[in-house]
Amino acid sequence: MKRSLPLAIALVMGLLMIGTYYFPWMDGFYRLVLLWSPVIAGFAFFLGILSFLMHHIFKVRRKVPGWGYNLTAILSFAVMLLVGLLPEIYPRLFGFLGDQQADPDASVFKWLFGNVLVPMEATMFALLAFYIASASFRAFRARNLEATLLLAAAILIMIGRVPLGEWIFPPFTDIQQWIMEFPNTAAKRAIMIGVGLGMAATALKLMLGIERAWIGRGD
Amino acid sequence: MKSPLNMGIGVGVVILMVASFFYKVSFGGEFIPSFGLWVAAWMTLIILSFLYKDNPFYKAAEHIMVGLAMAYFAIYYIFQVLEPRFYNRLVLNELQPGEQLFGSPEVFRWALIIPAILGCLMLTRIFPKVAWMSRWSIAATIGLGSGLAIPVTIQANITTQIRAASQLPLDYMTALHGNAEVMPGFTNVHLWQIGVPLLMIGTICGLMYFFFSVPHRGVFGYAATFGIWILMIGFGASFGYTVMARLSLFIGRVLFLLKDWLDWLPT
Repeated sequence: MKRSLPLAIALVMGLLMIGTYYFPWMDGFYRLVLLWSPVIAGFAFFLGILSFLMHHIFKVRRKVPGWGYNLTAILSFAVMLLVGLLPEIYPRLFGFLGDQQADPDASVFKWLFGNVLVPMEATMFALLAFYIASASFRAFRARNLEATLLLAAAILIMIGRVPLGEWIFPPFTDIQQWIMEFPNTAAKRAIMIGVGLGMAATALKLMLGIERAWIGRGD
Repeated sequence: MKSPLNMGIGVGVVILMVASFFYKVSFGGEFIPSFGLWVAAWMTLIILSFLYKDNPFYKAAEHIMVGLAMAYFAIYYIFQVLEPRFYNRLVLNELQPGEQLFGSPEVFRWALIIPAILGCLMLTRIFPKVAWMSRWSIAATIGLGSGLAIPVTIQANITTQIRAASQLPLDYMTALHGNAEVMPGFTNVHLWQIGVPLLMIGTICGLMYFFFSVPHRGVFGYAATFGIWILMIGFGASFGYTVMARLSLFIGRVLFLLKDWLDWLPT
């Protein structure tokens, strides 16, 4: 019951979804399922928030080294959540925080998003430029033909995509476009077809209960 | 680094955030752009400080970012997903035209309770004794995802790709006759004429490389070797493209600091 019922649910739901693709009269069910998925995902997200809070509260209560950072995470979560929720739930009391639905640009929520979260996320991704540069220094060694092809393609793409490359040698732009358009597309297409076959096979294995690691151990 | 200092830095940054609210409330729209600019600039510099080494400022900013991002997506989910898709339909009965099940909009509406029940079952993971019930909602999600993936991936990843590849010989014949319409952006027609057969052969050889049921020997081995060359060029191109994307992000942050914040560069 505890293990076989979930397998049966997965099979029935899978068959119903395949049915919606082939039978037009199941369109209503398809539209319903499109609404189901985000709702279930919402609860899963809520579970994630609980896990996040439990993790940080545990560290703060135990006063593990660096617990101040955990407190910072909890406080910033609470501040952002409150400035987002309160003006919507109690507009009279917390209207001064700005209505993010009616006028997003004037809300504190949007202000925090635009001036704190976005710069930090953008800079965090920008930092990867340095790490990817050091990774390329290690990876780009012309040890054999395959590695040389990888190195040459990457260098041509990088040079061809900056104005300096065109200034040094004008055909670089055409060459980089050619690499992106032809050998790169050929590689991507071969990978996509392989991935598609793999995904369909895995989905079938999940539906038929051949792959059942998701059930976990025990009862 | 001792905990009180860590906490002090963390609380200090949060105080900075709270102070920004009061600035907003007190000074209206006039002061906020430049104050927001300063906060954004300092946050950028704090994150960039990690390039020197890990430090308390970076750690505090990192934790602030995680907290803010978590809350942002929670708010986004509540007001952009759950409210319009679930609450408005189920409670306010605001169904869209054509939303009906077995010919009845009411059945469609009440069927929206099912994901809420499945979602509640997912929360049973918190309680070990009844955690097994969460498998039902996971099963429904996996089943729906798998059922959707089978026809959709066959359509998008296989059928469409094969159709696009089968169009190539036609394009090639047109290109041989000098029709410029099939060569968007290419100034050199010879590059196109070399590229199209390479694309066709490269795709087939790339697929052959992934076919492990036959030993890679003889003609098949040569084809598979050519396939791996094409794949390596593809990986190199993707790597170079990613490096450039990250660098352009970094340039964007530097421009933000030099132009928007310090106003050292002309606009």
